[in-house]
Amino acid sequence: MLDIKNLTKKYGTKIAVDDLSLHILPGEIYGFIGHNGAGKTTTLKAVAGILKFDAGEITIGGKSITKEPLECKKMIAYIPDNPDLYYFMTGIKYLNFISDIFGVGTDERKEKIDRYAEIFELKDSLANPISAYSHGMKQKLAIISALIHDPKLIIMDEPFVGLDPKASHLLKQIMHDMCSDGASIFFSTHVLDVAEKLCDRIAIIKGGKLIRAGTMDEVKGDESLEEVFLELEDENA
Amino acid sequence: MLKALIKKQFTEIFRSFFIDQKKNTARSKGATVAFFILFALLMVIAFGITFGSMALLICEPLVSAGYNWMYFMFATLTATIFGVFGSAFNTAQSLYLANDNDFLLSMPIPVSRIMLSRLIGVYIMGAIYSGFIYIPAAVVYWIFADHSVLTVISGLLMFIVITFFVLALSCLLGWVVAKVMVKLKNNGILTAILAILLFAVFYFFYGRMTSMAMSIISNADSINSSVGNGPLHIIGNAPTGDYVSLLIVALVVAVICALVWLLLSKTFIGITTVTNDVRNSKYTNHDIVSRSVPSSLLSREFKSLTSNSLYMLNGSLSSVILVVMGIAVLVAGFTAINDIRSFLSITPFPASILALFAALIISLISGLNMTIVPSISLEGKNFWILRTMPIKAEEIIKAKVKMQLILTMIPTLFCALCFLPLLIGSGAEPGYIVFVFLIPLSYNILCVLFGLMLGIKFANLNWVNMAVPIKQSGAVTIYTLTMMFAPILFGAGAIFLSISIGLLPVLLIVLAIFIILSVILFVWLKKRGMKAFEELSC
Repeated sequence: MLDIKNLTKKYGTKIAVDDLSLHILPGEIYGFIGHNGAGKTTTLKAVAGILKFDAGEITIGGKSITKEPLECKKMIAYIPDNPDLYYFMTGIKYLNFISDIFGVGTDERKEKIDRYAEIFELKDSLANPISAYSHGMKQKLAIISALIHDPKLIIMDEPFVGLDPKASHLLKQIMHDMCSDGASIFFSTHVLDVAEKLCDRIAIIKGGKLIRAGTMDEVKGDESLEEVFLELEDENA
Repeated sequence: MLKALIKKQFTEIFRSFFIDQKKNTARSKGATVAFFILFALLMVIAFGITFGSMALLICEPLVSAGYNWMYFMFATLTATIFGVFGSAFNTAQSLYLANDNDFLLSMPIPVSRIMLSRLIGVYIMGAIYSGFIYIPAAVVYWIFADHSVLTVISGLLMFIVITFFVLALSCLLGWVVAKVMVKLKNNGILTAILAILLFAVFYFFYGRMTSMAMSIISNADSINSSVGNGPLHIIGNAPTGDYVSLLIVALVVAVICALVWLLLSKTFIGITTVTNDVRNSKYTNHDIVSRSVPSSLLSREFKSLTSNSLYMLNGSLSSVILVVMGIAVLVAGFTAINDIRSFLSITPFPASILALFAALIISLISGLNMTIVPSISLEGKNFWILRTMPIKAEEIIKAKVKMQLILTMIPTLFCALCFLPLLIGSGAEPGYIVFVFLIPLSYNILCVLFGLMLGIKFANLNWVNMAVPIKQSGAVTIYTLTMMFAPILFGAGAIFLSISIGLLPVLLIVLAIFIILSVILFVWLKKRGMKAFEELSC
């Protein structure tokens, strides 16, 4: 579903992502972990088509993000770490706007808005302006807007930050359900316990370079993910 | 600590002078200084000429009649009004509604320091606005009336006093505006109506400046006797070298500043940290509406505009002015023309000149609509939403262009239609009348393309205070100055050229220039502008 080949991104002279390659299969939950400034967000933004990169290739569903960006973007949904949404819209207007852009029909959007707003307990607030939302509510709205057009690949940057325990649990459930239906999820997290329980495969990045990738068993063996992560951090220091 | 806060504030206001947006790197000191000099030169040329000529008009008659104080009273009061009303909404936004309020309040910084650093920004804006009026007036006085050292020093000191008076009044007005904005949160339209009322007062004074100046000259004796030695006399005397008057004025202003400071100190945290009581409201089936992509993008632009009174006022106030002017022309056009005729002793008044005047005045006013200029920077941290959507950059840009054209072309057309009875009644030929429509409408297109180019070239997605992209950016300054003076230059050139080749060919040339410039800008936007837009990142 997602192929990242030799991705390199520089900010001036600083190399943020260095020759990174990853392959994510359909129906897979792929965790992306690393220390602050390791290059996770840069990679996710490059995959989402927000950032141009200096070298390498990213293909989504066989289409290149640089050559066919619109075709790729039709297949993806991106949830940033800090959900800055249009403060001047109400929640429902924002969802309408996203649905319009992705061509979601009226009946379909109504069914999905009803379903997800109910799950995330946002139904009573959707007619309120986003400027009145808390961080968690904005995060929930960003998640609903990502799910509304049935993306084949969901890219999430620290999706659990700001969510209450119930919403976190529901999101994990939804992630599993989406993947059961064939979608793929590529997400970054600092919560290693969550990554360990949730992910089919995982990649660890440090200083822009991929230092370990594979299935959970391949990466951690008999140790905990936390132990492996800290060992790898020390080895590559 | 205060120095760091002021530096932050200063960097925010003049960000484009310090940061190269294209490379996202800091400019060299030399480049920053060069930008400041260029900015100052532009201001001096643009406003020095406009308000200096006005000062010249009244300086000589008043000074020769011995009413030096009256000259400065007029300059001081006008500068104060401009300073206060020009920066009132900016004050509310900068002082109370900045995005980093919570962040700064959470740090071990005394609230008074935060306020003081914010006030520096307000002070600079107020000083610039009042300086537009006062400095040319003072310079004219020093050149033509009295250039003794004591007078020059008193004039300069008076300017400092005025800037503090403007600061105090701006803060007071900004406080009222912020109170209203907080109460009417998410209702930008009502806030804008309040602002329009304030602007009406502002434009009332602006529009009557020349007539007030003439009235002061012709009624100088009666004004002198009615003012006597009262406060206005003292204010007027202060910059003429009367240091006792200057001291009195400075003391009064100091007391006013202290009182306003007390008011702000007591209410600052209350206003900046207010949380509105938002009751939950459920959506209904009627709220779920499908739209086409272009319609949805356009609707998003309008929602963004109507949610922010500062954006609305700075970006689309000319739409209201055009409608008001159109109605005024319908109601009082013939009377005004007769007055001008008798004043200039021209009978009959040439209808062709009237057509040129109508075309230029409509162009001038419509050109000041500029939603397009800050609209790209206003995407700010939300820019990721557009970047992850399966839509072309052109579609996003088209929505922004459409909004400005809708807001400008409809009132432009209305205003031009309102000129029709006057033009026909004055005997203007159809050939001339056509240009009253064609020139402003083509100018609307030129403006939107020019504004778009500036918006992309000077895009700043990392602002903290919304007033920065809307009011204080390099793009907005360049756009405003260009659009204010371009029609005047074209008008002067047209009149000059018409003496040798006639007015009709000149109007055709002006139209052709607008079209050619539009085509050049369009080609640039197609080839390079879109690429630059796509490369923006927040």
